[in-house]
Amino acid sequence: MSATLKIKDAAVADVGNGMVELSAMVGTERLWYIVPASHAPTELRGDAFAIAGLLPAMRLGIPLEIDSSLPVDPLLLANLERQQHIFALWGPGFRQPLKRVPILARAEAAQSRGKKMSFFSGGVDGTYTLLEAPHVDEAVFVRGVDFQLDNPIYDEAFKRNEAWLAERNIPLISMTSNARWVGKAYGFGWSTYFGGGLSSFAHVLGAGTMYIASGHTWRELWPDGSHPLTDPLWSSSAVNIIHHARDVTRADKIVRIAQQPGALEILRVCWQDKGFNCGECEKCLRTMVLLRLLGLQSPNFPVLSDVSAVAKLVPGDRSEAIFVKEAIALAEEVNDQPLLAALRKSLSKWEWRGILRDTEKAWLGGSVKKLLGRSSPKASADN
Amino acid sequence: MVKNTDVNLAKTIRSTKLQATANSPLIVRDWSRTRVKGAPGVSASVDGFQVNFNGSSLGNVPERSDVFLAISLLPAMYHNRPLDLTAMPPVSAGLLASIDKVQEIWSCWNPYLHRVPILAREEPTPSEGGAITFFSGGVDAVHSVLHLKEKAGQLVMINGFDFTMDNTAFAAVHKRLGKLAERLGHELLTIETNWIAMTRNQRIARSTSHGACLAGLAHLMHPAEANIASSFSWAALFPWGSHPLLDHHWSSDSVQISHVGNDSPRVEKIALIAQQPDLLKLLWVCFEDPVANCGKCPKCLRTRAMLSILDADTSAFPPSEGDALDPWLNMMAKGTELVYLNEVKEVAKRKNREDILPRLAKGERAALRRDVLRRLWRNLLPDLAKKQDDKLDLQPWGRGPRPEL
Repeated sequence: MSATLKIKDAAVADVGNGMVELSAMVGTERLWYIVPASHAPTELRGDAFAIAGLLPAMRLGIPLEIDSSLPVDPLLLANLERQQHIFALWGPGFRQPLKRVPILARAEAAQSRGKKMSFFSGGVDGTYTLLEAPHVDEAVFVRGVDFQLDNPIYDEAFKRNEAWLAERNIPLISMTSNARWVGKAYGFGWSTYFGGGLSSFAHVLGAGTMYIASGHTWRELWPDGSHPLTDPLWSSSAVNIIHHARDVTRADKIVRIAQQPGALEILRVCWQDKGFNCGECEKCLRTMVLLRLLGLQSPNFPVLSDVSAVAKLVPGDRSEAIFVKEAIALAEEVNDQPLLAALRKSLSKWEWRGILRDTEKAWLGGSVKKLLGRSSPKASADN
Repeated sequence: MVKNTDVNLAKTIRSTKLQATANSPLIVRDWSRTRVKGAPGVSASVDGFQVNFNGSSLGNVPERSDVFLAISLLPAMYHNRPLDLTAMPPVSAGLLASIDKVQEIWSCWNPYLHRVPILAREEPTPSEGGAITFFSGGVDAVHSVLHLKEKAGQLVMINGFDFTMDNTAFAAVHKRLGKLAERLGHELLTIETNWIAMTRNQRIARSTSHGACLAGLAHLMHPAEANIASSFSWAALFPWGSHPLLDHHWSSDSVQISHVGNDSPRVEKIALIAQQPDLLKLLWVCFEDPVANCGKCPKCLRTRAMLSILDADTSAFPPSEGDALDPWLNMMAKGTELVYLNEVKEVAKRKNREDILPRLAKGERAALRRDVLRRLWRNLLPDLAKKQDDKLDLQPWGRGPRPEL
C-alpha cells in the first residue's frame, strides 16, 4: 500500500454527443464525471477529487495527496480540515474507522461560475427543494446515483423531468459519474458517502451555489452522509453547498409538491432498478402510504388499497423507522385505522427486533450473534 | 418608554410559516435600569415575572431588549403565544431574522414548541468589540479558554444560571474562579440573575433553555464575539439547549455567537486541562455543590474516573474508596453515561489498558441492560410511560427519554 492516497493523472476528454469526461485516479480507482461540454471545467483542478478522496484516505489512515498540477481552493482545504474533526468522531456511527489525516495539496483559489443549481431526480426531497429554494438557474440529474449506470429508465425519467422543468424555465443538466462505485471500492455505502459525492458533482459543474435537499428534519441528528453540519463544509470560495429544507417533514413536502401541476406525474423515488417505481420497496411503500394518508394519487404508483405489505415491512434502520413514526402521526390525524394498525405493526417489529438484539448483547455479550456469524442491523442504511 | 404607536408591526413581524393561534400574547414590558447589591443592571417583566440581570460590567449597556427576547422566546413557543415586545426598547438589528432559524429548529426538535410571531422594533446596536466566553470553571469552560487562548476575551461567570448561590457561596465560587481566570490569563466578570427561577416557574428544563439565556446575556454585554462551550462532541448530537446547530443563530449584526469545543470528546478536554496541574486543583464540575466537588454526583464520578484513567491529579475531588473507576462504572446501570464510556474506551485502547477494558465492557453491558429494560416497559405499558413523561419539565426533545444517539 502506498504511503499516501494519491490523486493524479487528471484528464479531460471529449466523449461525443456534446459531452466531456473529466477523470483522475483516486488511489487505485479512476473516478470520472461526464458532463455537457457547456459545463466542462475551464481548468483542471483538484477540488472535486479532494472531496471524493477524503473519506477513503481517512478510512485508510493515510495522507491525502493531491498532485500539484491540480490546485485545491484554500477555503475548501480549511473546510476539509474541519470536516475531518466531525467525520473522525462519527466513525463509530458509520461503523468505519475514520482517522484524521494530513492533506497535501497546492492551494489556489477557484473561480466562481456563479449559477445556482439543485439536484433533481423527480423525487420528493429534490422536487420540494427545487420549488422552495430561493432561485434555481439549473437542475442536475445524475446517472449513477439512484440508477445503475446502464439502466435505460434514466433516459425516460430524464425526458419527463426535463419537460416538467421546461414549463418552469429551468434547464435540466444530465451528468454521469461512477463516484458511488469509487466510494464503494473504499468500503463506503452511498448513505455515508453521498454528501461528499454530490458535492463533488457541484464542483465539477462549477455551480456557484448547489442545493442538496435534506432527507430528514432537524430532529434526526445522527451521523449521516449528508447532514446540515457537514454539507456546508464541502464548500469552496467558488462553490457554496447548501443543505436545504431541514424543517419540513416528508409528508409536508408531498403536500407542497402536489400543489404544482404535473409534479405527481413525474414522481419517482425508487432505487430498485425495477421499472419507474417498483411499488414494493420501502421507499415506494413509504411514498404510497403518505399519498393515501394525504388523499393524493400519482399515476406512477399503484393505489395502496391492501395495507398488508405495510404491516409486513420491517424498517431496516432508524431512518426508515422515523418515516413510519411520521406516517403513524398522520394516520392518527386523518383517522385511517387500517393503515394506522399496519404502520404500528411495522414499527413494533422494528422496536422488538432492537430490544431482542440488545437483550442478547447485554445479557449474553453478543455470543449468539457471533455464533451465528451474522451482523446486527446497521446504525444507518448503507447501500 | 417606547410607545406602541412608534412600532411598525407589519414590518417587524419576521417569523414565517406561523401557526394560527388565538392565544393571548406573552407580553414583555417594564424595561428599566436597576441596581441590586450595588451592581448596575437591567430588569423587565416577562409575562408578569420580573427578571433581573446585574453585574459591575452592566452599567452602560445599550437600551435594548435582546436578552429579554432571548429568555422569553421559549415560554412563548411552549404556550403557543405571540411574543410581544412592543412596549420594550428595540432589539438589535439582525436578531429577529436570525432567530427565525432558532424557532425552526426548536419546533422540529420539540413537538410542544410552536413557531410564534414576534412583535418588536429592530435597530442597529453599535458593537464595542472584544470577546467574552461564558465560564463556570468546569471542564468545558476551562477547555474552551485553553482552546481559544486570547480569543476567549473576558470570562463571564453567572450566579443564578446553574445555581442560585447565597452571598457566602457566591463569594467562595468567585474567589476560586478568579484564581482560575488569573492562571488562564483572563479577566473575570460576574453577572447575577434570577433567570433560573423564571424558567423553573415555566416548567422548562434548564437543559432546554440554558443556551437562550447565555445568548441573551451575550447581547446584553454586547461584545463583538461571544463563545459558548460545548457540552458534547460531534459524536453525541441530540437536541440540547446549547447546540452547534443552534447557538450561532442567536447572533445579530453586532454580536457573533459561537459554540466551541465539539471537536474534543470530554476525556480529551480533561487531558488538555491535565497538562496544567495548577488548573486541575481548581477544577469544579459538581451539580450538587457550587462550592466544592461533592465526589458523589455523576459529574464528579465521571470526571474523577477520567482523570484517573489519564493518570492525572484527582485532588480537586474527595478521594474515592478504592479505585476511582468503580464508583463511576457502578453508576452505569442508573444513568446515561454511555456516551462518556465510549470515549474512555477509546483512551483505554490507545493506552493499551488491557486491565480496564473488560471492566468498561461490563459497564457498557450494565448501561445497555438498563436501556433494554426501559424500552421493554415503555413498549409494554405505553400509557404509564406517557404519564411519567408528562410529569417531566419540558426537555429539549419534547418529553420522555432522550432520543437515541
